Amino acid sequence: MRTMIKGLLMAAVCLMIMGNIASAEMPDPAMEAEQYLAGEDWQAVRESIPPQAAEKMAEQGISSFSELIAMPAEELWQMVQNEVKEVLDAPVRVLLSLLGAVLLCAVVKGIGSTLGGGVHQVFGAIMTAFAVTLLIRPVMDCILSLHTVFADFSLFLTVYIPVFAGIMTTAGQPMTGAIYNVLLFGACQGVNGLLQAAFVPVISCYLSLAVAAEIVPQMGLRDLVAGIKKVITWGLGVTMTVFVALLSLQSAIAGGGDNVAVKATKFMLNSLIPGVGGSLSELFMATQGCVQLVKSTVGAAGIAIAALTFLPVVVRVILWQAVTACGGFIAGMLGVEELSRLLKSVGSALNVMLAIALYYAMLFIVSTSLMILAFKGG
Amino acid sequence: MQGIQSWCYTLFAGVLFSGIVLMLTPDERYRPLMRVILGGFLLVCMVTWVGQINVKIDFSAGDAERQREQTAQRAEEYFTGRAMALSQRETEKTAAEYLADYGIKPGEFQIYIKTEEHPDGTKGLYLLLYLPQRATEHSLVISRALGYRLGADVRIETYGTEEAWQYRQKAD
Repeated sequence: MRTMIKGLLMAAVCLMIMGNIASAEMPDPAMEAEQYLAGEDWQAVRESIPPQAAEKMAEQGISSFSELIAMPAEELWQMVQNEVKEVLDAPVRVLLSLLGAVLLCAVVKGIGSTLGGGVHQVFGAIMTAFAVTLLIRPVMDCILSLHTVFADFSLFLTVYIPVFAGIMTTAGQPMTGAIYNVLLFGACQGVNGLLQAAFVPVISCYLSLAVAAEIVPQMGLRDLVAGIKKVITWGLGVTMTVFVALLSLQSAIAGGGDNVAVKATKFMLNSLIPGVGGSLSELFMATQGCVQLVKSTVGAAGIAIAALTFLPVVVRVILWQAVTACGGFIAGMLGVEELSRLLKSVGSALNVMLAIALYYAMLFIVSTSLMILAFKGG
Repeated sequence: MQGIQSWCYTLFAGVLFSGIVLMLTPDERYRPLMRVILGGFLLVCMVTWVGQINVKIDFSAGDAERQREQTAQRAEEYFTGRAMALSQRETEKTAAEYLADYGIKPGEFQIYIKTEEHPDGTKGLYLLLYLPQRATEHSLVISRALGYRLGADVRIETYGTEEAWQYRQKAD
């Protein structure tokens, strides 16, 4: 009986003490993270946000990273719809002109036998030239816009990647952060160097060859065009797979090493926690929770910025692709094979552009997502 | 950039030129011969690019690593500072509540969070509590009880006279 009373008393004392500890004033993680992200450290990152994304953020009244990642799906869908509405006018006009040309070609071809053998060939050549002039300008605009987006996005990444890796280091992932920094920064430097040097000329060349292969089929350039496309798409696929595999493997290895590294780190926040307990320990742990929140917020904001940066140009390329696909389909249906093949060639050039744009965006998005989800050492 | 660009122009010009020549070939008999000549010309156009390419890619991430370390250090300092400020407030509040039982009012004591380096190189934390002389006899109990509540080692120093207390406050 006495032991029971003693036990109950001990439990009551423990509860009182625990109640006291639990009453410690804990920092609000969201507010702490917001306060930190509003600091000067993040000024450079905010200033380097690509104009395409900054414009969209301003339109939606988004001024902070937390607001950016809290954007509801309906707003995002609305943004895509607005983007489509904004640029839909030109593709529709070109599509109507193309359909007119296809119909004229089909009619002339149909009555060609009564007018003489050469008429429909000459008319076909004129219509091909007409289709090329209709499409070449918007496609070149897409190429130049993509080139600008690549340059702006690369500038953003050179500022963003080291800062995000630094936050990962503070959040208890020093080795994973270092690997992310070195691998992704190196890869982005490489991709950017290659894109800045070769994107416009290679895509222009591919488009020119694709068009020339259809205008002058006797030169036998179709295989070359198909080969270039295959090399580009395979190259993108293989490098992406190798990169993601390497990053995942290195992160998995580094995750274990982070445990050891955190203990040996010179930074104080991590090393203080084992030295204290009770309410102080909870405060330190809560502060480290704030760092984790900053890491997740910054990572997700980076992904959102990448998506917003590429959204306008990707929408434009997809719309022009739809125009060429639709025109090519109708031309094929009406038996105007020359125009159908030409439109498909232009569409294939747009396809390659889209693949390169998505490759660059996905390289960053997949790597950063992996880092957000990566196991936290320490 | 310049190399690839000029190669593209050469190639496209070559294709167009070959197409026009093929179209203008007057007789069907010459076409195979023209195709061989123009095909050869195109091949030369394609091969010449190898010597013209000059893409410079820099994979080095030295600056990025320095930037990462600096960011990590600044973030660490910021959050450590915040943790210390919140801890200081919490420590003072808890100490005031507990010391009130001994008749020690908030203005009569001071408590600080101090860090020290252990012989093995790791950093540790302890609390330094300045109490009036009259609390000396309770110092062991206070140290243990506060240490238990706050979860850290509490070291107590006492001051005897009003002058010593003034001096202590000025020094801090």
